[in-house]
Amino acid sequence: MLTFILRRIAALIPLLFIVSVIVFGLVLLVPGDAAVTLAGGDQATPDRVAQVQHDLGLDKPFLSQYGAWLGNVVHGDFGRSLYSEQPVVSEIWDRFPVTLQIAGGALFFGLLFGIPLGIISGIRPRSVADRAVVIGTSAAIAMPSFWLALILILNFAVYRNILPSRGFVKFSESPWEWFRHLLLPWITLGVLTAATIARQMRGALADVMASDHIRTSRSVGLPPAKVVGKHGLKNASAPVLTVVGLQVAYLIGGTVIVESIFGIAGLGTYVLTAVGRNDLPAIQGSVMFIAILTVLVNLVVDIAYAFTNPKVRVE
Amino acid sequence: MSDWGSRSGDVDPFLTSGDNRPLDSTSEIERGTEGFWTPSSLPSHDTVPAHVGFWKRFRRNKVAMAAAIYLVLLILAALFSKHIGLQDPNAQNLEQINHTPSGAHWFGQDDLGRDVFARVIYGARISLEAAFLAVALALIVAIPLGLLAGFLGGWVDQTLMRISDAFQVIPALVLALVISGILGPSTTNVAIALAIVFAPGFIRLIRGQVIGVREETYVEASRSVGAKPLFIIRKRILHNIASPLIVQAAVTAGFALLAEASLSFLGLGVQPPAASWGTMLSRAFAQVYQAGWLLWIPGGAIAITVLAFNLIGDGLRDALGTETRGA
Amino acid sequence: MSTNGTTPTPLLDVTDLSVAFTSHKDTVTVVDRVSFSVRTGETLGIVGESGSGKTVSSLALLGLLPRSATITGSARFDGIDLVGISDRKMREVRGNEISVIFQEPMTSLDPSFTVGNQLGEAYRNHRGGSKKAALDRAAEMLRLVGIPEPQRRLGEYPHSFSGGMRQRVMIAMALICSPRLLIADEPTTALDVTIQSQILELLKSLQAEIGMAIIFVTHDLGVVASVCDQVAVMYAGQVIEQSPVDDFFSQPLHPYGAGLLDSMPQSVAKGERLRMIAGTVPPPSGLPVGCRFNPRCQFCVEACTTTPQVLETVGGGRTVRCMRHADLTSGVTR
Repeated sequence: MLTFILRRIAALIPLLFIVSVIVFGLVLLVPGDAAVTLAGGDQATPDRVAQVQHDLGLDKPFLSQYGAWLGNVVHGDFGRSLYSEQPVVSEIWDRFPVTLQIAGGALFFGLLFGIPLGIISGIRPRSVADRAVVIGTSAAIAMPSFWLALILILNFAVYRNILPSRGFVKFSESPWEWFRHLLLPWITLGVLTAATIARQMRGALADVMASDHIRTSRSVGLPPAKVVGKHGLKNASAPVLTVVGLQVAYLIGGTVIVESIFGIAGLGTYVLTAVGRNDLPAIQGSVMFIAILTVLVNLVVDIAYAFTNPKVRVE
Repeated sequence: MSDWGSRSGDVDPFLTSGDNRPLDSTSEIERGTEGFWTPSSLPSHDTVPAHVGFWKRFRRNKVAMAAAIYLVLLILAALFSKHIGLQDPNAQNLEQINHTPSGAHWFGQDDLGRDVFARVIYGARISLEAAFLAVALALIVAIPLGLLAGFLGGWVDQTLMRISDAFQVIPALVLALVISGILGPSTTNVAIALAIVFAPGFIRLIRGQVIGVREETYVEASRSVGAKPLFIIRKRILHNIASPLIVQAAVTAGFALLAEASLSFLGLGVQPPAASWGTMLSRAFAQVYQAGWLLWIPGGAIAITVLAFNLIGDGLRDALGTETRGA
Repeated sequence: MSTNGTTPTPLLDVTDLSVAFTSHKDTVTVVDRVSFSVRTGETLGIVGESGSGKTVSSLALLGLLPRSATITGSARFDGIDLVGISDRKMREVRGNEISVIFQEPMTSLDPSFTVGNQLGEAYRNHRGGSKKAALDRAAEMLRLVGIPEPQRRLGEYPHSFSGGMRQRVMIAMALICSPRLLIADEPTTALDVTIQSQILELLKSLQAEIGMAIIFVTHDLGVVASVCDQVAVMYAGQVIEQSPVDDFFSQPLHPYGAGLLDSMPQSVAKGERLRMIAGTVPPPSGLPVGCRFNPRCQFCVEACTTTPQVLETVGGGRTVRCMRHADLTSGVTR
């Protein structure tokens, strides 16, 4: 198992390397003269342009720019924001916990509803419950998530003043308010997650329950709870885990919109404002950070997958 | 007792088949004639020209047909928006802000008194344009690269796959956001950004299918002695690559529409006064307390159109009878 | 060993067992009033081609058929009727009083759990006790079925075992609670010929040691000859003959049974053409009127095509479903 984990980690390095090239390569997309555009375009003073050029090393060849940037990144330095002059890393680190709470809560919501619904559906294909789940999940998947957010706000904050439509409250300040402010964001992102997980669990479980070894489990007289709960779920977990991994990538991306709609200052709004201001170091830093995060989550999913599927560890 | 029954099972075929000449022309494959060399992997619908069966099958799927009709109407309305007698989508009427639907204004009026119905149709044009352009650009990049990766294999394949992986590690919306933001807000830049986001998925699909077909063709070529391999390859490739690709393209167009709406909502797409559905949604949200009902229309339009793309994709998948090999 | 009339009550007595499958609106009867019996310590072979209903009959005894199946009739096992029994009681019987081993050893074990886990689980399900005790018992069973280094193997996953080995594990799992009846559903069909005979030997020796009865479902008459005491031949959902094995092989009573024997490769001389029964097994939805075998039967007469045949008891503990069996016996000797 340990060798498996180490091998997986080793495989990540080339991947992250290519990602870093892509992220740094964003500088090539800046229209016009990079230094001028980033300094403010038409309103840029020559001093400002010179400063930007110096800070970002834009007068040097691309490869040495990249080398310098990469060297810093490896030491945890994403440079300074062009706007606030603060280290990008600390700005990201300040905002990251909030995003984590949104994405994490949404994932929890998705698992909480998705897994049981998938199980109910999977053990009795074509039953009434199953059909209901299929229709419900189809609707949920088709619905644009940010529209869902808007409608939730309309219903719960505007028409009825039950939940707040904006803002974030720290858990340490008030657990209840923390919950109230995060509930709608969680539902917004969690609904799609729940639907996807339910679908995947349904398919995987239905397949497993039709397999020969389940028949064997029944034939030795195991009670249904054990047949489904132990043998069924263990074997169905692999595809579900894969989907959970994919969902996390989606959730991290989805927080951008959700934070924007609900006015929460997290990593998503940071990226958004950075883009709005053409704050290149902030953009590169946060995208790199998000990519690293996604990669780590996928690693965890891979390990969990290998844990449930012994054959994978051998290859 | 009596002779040999029909249970040939695992008996030497030359004893039971009528004739044992090898196939010597492609027309035999086409007719699916007997002879133990008929490769079992040739699906039966290869013997019927592909497009005949397909339309019949697609038409039978009522839901997909309804979705297709809706989409066609929408596209036509968007294309000929200037000629179908709509009100001016940019004409403001500050006396009639946020009016609910009326006889003159079927979808009501927005926060500047503009006719919402007209704006929805004009917005459709922008949203659909962005979506189709994104998919088209993605395909233009992905088809050659995918074919290259699949046929050449080796380090070309490995490199392309690693690069694809790297792109797919960055969440789609973040990548699109960042690329279109840096390039500058406009519909075209949104389409370019989305094309970059979707291309890796297409590359992977095409490459996977090419590899699958390649393997099968070797097997077939070794069996169908005399049959022209080039003909088989062309037929098999066309079906096995084009079909899943078309399905994927349809579904991706739906995602592209959704993504464009998201980006416009965040302010990165088309700039005012022109509006895509995403922009309309963001304006409506800005005054959710005053005129929340305005949310329903552009949002509903997006949802229904995305659903239509998905349903068409499902219908295409059933009608084309595709089997996708894992990437 | 052949028996005659002076027999104790059978361990399992199946009477008029029928199984019908319903899908959407159609109902198809796959097993039609099948009757057979097994005595303690005896081996009954149920023989038939695919589609004869032999597997469905045996799985029906343990309620292992899909939800779309309706089972009627009776199957008395040691006093209780297995048909219509409650789920809870059925679970007490499965793996405990009656066990089953299946045809596909490669897929019959859960790939996600160790062999020790699965064996132990089967044991503790009925006998309770500690995990350690269950694993000890599991190791003992592995040794019994001829798997070397049982203690080490307990911690391994099914994918480290070959097909033959997996079937041995299945047998271990089936016998771990010392059942009184084992249903073996074509256990050797998917295995190599050499492994096949090993497994058959294993089953015979275990049977002698544990003293259990076996129902051996197979299409291979050679297996029947070597392992079984009694044989029941099924065709198109019915039992058409049941006899002690030696009697069956020396003088089959039903033309179909005779045809099966005739079609064995061993029954022709070298260089001669293999013999086969003409025609194919009718599907449950398209059964012939009268005797179900009549379209393929050499000895078919007018009455065969109109009168459904009934299972009659003939002397010597034999039953046959053919009204012409007496006439034919002389002509069908081998």
